[in-house]
Amino acid sequence: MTAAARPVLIVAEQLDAAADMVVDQLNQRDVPVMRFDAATFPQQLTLSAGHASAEPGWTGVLDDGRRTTRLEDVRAVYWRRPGRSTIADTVPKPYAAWAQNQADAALLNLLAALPGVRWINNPHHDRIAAHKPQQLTAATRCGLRVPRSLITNDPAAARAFAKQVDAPLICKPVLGGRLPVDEGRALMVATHHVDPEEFDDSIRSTAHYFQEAIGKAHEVRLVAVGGRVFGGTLHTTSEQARTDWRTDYEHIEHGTTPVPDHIVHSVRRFLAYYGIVFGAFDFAVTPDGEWVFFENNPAGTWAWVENRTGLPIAAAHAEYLQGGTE
Amino acid sequence: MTTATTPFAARAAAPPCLVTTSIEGVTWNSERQLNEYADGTPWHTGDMAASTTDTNLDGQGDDVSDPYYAPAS
Repeated sequence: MTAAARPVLIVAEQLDAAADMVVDQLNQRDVPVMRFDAATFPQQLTLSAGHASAEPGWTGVLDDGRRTTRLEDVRAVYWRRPGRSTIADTVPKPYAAWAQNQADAALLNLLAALPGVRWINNPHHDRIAAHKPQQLTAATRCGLRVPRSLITNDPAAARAFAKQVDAPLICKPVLGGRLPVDEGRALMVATHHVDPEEFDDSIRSTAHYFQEAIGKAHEVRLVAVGGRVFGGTLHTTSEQARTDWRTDYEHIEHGTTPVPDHIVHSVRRFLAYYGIVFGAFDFAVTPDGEWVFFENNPAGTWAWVENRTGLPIAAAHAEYLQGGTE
Repeated sequence: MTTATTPFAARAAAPPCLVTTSIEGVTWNSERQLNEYADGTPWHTGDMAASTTDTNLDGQGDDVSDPYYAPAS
């Protein structure tokens, strides 16, 4: 098979705007695409792969009933938040959970075992890259400024940190995720300002993540992919949005910004450190113009940035998956 | 009887701000492998909710425990 005929796999939910954007770009480049959701395996998607006794590498076929791809021909994989494998209702509960784990493990790891395949991003790498405590260390090693931070379950340490910082503090989750308090919609703990006077023994109940509140002229959702770096700005017009823009989308004005060379350099080092090529970074830009790293979302959302700003992020994805950039 | 303790940080828990994108009139084009409006315009070119919390219409944002689900890690 010629290099140009080798397909790109897009593994994503069917209703995913980011995946649509990338597929659209690949279609315009006449790059063969096979798109499927992992949730269609094993009921609609058929997978067969074999491994020889001495020669390394899996060979086999993925078939969704409309398209067929030979595993050894795969050029690149865009793993974009697919659903989990779905097991038929005819398989009873204890077996269904087991079967789902088998299916998940097979699909992802057979693809991950393919040699020389480009990924955005390999989820095994994402898993390591996602965690905030390591991110602060990696970011500072790569030359980025981060907020002074404390993770503790000790109220006295929290009070001492507040005294040391002697400026407004915020609290944020160490790990994202919803809080299913009510039967209805699950809650979310966003970044929020805290008053050290209110620190109490409930801090002992788990790890708490405190940071100095960074003064912001505006924030940046920086999207890096395949060596390209795009700066989408968020100018907030409410106090709530200023603290955590995810809590008040009605009060955000979107724009673009050039990314300073030293930030581009640091972001590339950061991604290389984790062995990934994509990241949706959150930065604050202080009134003095300094960029402060908050976090990187290795499977973060970006379609809205392109949709609102016109930054050619999907094209950069396609270029990388196609093999046009390093 | 012990007293229930809510972790300090979790007192700020609130419903997430979800901004959903309309999919009215949107259908899947199995040839192009993307979603489009009736006139063939790609769905992704329409006005999209500027939200990290529901961009994919799955209620999942950046800040979920495992948005890049990889159960086989």
